[in-house]
Amino acid sequence: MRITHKMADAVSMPGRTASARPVSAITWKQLAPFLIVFFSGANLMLIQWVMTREMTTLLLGTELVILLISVSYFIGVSIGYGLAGRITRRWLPVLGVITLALHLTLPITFRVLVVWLGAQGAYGAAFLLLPLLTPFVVSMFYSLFLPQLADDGTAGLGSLYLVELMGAICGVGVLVFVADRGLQTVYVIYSIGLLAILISLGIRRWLAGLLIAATAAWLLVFPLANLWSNTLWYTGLLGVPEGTHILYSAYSPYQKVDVLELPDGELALYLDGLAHFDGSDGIRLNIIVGEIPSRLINPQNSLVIGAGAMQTEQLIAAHGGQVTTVELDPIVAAVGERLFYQYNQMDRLTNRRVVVDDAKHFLANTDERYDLIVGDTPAAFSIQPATLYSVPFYKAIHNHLTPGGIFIGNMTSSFVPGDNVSRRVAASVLQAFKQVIVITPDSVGWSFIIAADDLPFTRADLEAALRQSGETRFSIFETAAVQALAGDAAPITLDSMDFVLQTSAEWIADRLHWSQD
Amino acid sequence: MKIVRLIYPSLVGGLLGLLQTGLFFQLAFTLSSGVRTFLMITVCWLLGSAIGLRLAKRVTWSLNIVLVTALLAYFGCVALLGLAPFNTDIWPLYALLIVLMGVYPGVFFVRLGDHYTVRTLFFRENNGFILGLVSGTLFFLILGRFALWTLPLLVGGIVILCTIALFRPQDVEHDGILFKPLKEINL
Repeated sequence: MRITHKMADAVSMPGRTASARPVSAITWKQLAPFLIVFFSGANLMLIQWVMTREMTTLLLGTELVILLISVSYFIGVSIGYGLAGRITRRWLPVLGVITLALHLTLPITFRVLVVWLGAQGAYGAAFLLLPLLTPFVVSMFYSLFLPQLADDGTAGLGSLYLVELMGAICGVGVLVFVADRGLQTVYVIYSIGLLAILISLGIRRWLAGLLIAATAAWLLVFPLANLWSNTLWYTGLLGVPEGTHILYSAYSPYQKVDVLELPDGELALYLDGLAHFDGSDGIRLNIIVGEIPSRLINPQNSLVIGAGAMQTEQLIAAHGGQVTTVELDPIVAAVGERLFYQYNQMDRLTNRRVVVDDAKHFLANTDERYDLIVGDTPAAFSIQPATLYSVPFYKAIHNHLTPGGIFIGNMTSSFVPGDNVSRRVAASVLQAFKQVIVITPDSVGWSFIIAADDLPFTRADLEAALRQSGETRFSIFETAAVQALAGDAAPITLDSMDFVLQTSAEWIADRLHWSQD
Repeated sequence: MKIVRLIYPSLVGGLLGLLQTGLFFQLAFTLSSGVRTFLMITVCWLLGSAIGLRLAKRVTWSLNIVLVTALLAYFGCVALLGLAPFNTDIWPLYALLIVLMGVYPGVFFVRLGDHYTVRTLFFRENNGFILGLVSGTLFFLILGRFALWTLPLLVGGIVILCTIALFRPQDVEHDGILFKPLKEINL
């Protein structure tokens, strides 16, 4: 049934009783609880998305951080359930207005708070403060309604919960179809939902008008405030030089993606607040995984796993062969193509293509064979990237190499006796390949692994290629030495991901003292 | 019996947390970690719950039968992943199995809503869900996929036993209104 202004007035204006217009009033009274739970379901999905992306970035996400954030969010839901019925109805609109203000400023206030903590030398406190704030600030409000409305007999649990689930599905739909238009657009929809809840709770007409006007005004300036606080986060906490501009910032389905223009004109790519490509400083890494193997084997068909600035691909494509990039995150792939062309020449090269897919799925479903496969994947701070360092994945790579083809991958740390991660990565690669070489160039500071069943070059060839590309200091371990140093390190499989827990805990421990350093 | 009554919703919540964690990890590992997988799990689970809510009072299946169906659907997903890894062409089959899993929480909430206040039911269930989420993740990291296969079975078994124990006819006499006879409440 259509809701007219008169019906809404009957609820929101004091002095007009339900008995004055019984049919309209009853209809609105029946509908209002369902509107409340519908938009609660939808908004819980939307705010969870915003909160997860932003907090993962602020706490420089690892698996434990992701778990901490999820637990914190659901504790808020529990608190809401626990308080349902204990908060009188006249306080619910007050809580709603506070929630509207808190949520629409969420990324900005949390960033400013964390930057301030960093300035006090207490960045580590953010790991305690944000998870403590989240339940009350983010998720508590929306879970107050369903139990309260069901317990006071306003409507049946089945009907209310069904409508809330429908709202949640619509919230997911908004994220699927609208999220790529930016946070401002998502917040417009989110605000409509929360304002609808407030109106359904029976706030006064003038207050509704005021809130709508204030929300609209805030949403107009939101992009500027968002940009300002994002820049503050990078310059104030991460030490990016003053004068840096944020060229692009978005929440992808997987992470927060930021493209920065540094004062010297170089571009940098940050994923969840972690540097993925840092201007020309990052070129040495790309030379090792792109230029060196191309010099050695002159590949005609190459696959690079993981995009970003896609400079590696340009270095390979310059040798003439076809280069395919497989990247999970469509936004990372898109910014790589659109914004980093000065590094990857995607606007000019014709022997390049980008496939948006999970690399594991891609390899399992393609019959193509490659002369060169490059693993340019993020460090295994969480479970999903960790699977790209596992034996099954290395075996899949092995099965997609041509005879004489090679694999080169980033080990993300130095291959030294005390380094558990690189030793386990080496042990995993040794399970899939007969010959393995580990190189550690000083210019990068960590190790890379090259593997094949029959390496088509000698150690001397490799040393020459490294020198030709400007490397003056490096170490090389051949297969026997790699086997010896890997020793009894357990290969990484889908059933032995315990190292993620360890690296995640070490990363957090390191960050707890970060700003003091 | 009081303690069982106290923890029963939390046990179910823990089971649901374990099932969701297990689904997310295993589908991401051996189907695809693309966003479509996560969407499929989320939307199909919610749809299943919506169906469960509608079915709860219309069908006479016992709660344990719905739970066993959910567990079979979970292990159906595990088996499919083993038989046809990374085969996204059969996603409708996964979707169907996940919908079947989602039916259980829908039926559970409606039927148990007759025996707990909704606030208590959701509060306890959600606390259990948090425990399931945390334990599923941590045990997976320590023990591997073995944890994702055994924990749901173990907790599911405990839930089945608790359901039987809680709703035995002889307990009804002591507890009067709180727990109605088995057949009457379709548990």
